[in-house]
Amino acid sequence: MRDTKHEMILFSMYDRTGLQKHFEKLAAEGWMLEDIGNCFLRYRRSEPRQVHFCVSYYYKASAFDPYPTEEEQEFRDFCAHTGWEVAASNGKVLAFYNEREDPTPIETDPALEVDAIHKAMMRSTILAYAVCLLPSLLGLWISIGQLVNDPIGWLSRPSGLFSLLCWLVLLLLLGVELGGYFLWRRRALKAAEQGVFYPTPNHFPLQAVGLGVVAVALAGYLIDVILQSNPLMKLITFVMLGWTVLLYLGVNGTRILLKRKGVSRGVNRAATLAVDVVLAFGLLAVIVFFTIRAAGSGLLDDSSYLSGGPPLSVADLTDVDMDGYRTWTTGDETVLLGQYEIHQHVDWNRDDPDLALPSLEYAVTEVKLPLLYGWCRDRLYHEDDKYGEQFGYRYEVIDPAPWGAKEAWERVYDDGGRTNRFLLCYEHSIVVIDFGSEWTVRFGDHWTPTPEQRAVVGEKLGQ
Amino acid sequence: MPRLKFQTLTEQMFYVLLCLKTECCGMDILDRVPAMTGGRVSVGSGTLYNLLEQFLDAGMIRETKVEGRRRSYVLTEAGVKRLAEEYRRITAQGEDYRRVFGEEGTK
Repeated sequence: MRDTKHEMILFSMYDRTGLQKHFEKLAAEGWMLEDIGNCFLRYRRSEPRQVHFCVSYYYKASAFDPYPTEEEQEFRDFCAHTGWEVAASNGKVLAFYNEREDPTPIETDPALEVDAIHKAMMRSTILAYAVCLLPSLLGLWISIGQLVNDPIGWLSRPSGLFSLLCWLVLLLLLGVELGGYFLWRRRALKAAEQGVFYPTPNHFPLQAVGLGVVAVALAGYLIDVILQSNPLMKLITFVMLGWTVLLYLGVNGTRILLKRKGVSRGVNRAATLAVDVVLAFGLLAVIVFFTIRAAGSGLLDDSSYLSGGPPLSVADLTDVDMDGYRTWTTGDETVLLGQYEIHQHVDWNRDDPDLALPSLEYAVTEVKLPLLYGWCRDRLYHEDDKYGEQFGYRYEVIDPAPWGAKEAWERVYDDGGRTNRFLLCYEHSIVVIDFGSEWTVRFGDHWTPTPEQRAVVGEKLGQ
Repeated sequence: MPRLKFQTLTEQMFYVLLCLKTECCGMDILDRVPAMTGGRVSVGSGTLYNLLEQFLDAGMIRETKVEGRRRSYVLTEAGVKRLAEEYRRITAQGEDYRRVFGEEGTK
């Protein structure tokens, strides 16, 4: 039988109403609060008992204090005099319990209580949230910018969806916490004028849902990275994950260790900050250095999204020897979309590259959420609009039957010249295929597919 | 319009200051207020701690001695004056009440 249990803290710091009720309920169930950590509450098994809890705020305390200061101890002595004993504390938050039947509350003046909570909040949570707000807004702005510029590619990348979800959830929680606090304070001050204690709002369900969304998104992201991403992405993802955990453990570990050693608040704060900076920048530098080294030495080459090789290659369409080619494959997928691109060109690293060899490039967008199909098609159709105006080309409807497609367009110049780019719509996928890229066209190696070759494309890519 | 600090004293403020006519420490006040009011008024320990700090800042009380963690306080002249003003305010309220309801209304 376990003697201790841990719970993630899903209460707002100022939610004294929710915290008190929760601690009282658990004490009645036989779990007495023992420790308040940064993320978790710890309880120890005890006899079930009806005790009163009171969460109080001592704004002069700090999470870096090795032990309560003389002043804080005096405050605790006052409380002990009326039967209130400290069950646990963390920084400015103190959780007291009282076994008397009808004890005098610690706070008997609502205005003074609101003032004490505000001082504690402004020196800790509000400050931290305000600091978090700026990078969150920046992160969301970058994510939305990427979504606007390359929505299909972005929605196909697990990291894109994951980061957007995280920024959104973080901003939502920050907004609710900050907005909720100031709204509560306004109401509490009004109520205090009438001598009434205003209950604090409970954001427990919202925090639980937010955390659940991030946990599910993170799990999905990691599974996707493990199953599909290339070695470089795997390396970066897991190193960054490890780095985050190490940073958290390093910074918190330093603070707790120095507290236990009895180091003063100032020294502890300076040392923890130093460890934070060194770990943050030092580890990042090490990660970047080794990633560049690994990429440069070829350790991370030959990445492939499609483990079985490209579904369509030049050799499927023409009678060429693939030895003279180099193939680049990139791709990713999420629960909404998948997109992969294949580029097959003459291998320029060879001693005698055959410039006459045809090239092939195509991008396949797999639409998993049918609602997105029309939107994806329109995006791909208009993808080159701005270049089309500049260089004088546009899409023209062609017969989809030879391609085995539902709809098909060919990009043609205004003067009727061909670019040999086609946009093909299949049941669940949309293909943009180039028989000779813009760059290679200059060398005269673009080619127009025959009806047989079009049928092969449909057969290979339209499934 | 927000009320100026200590423009009027709450019941708890009044009794805390009243206790400090003679030198005493915080814990004495916690016991004296209920005793003085027959249990009608109690001051919470957190409330008292904050009140003492604010009275000190406002110069209404001063620290007289420190024995370990026990600090004793006593009213200053400003505190005595403020308490007297509050007494006059409360008395004036009582007189106004009597004027309206007469002596019968006090029974």
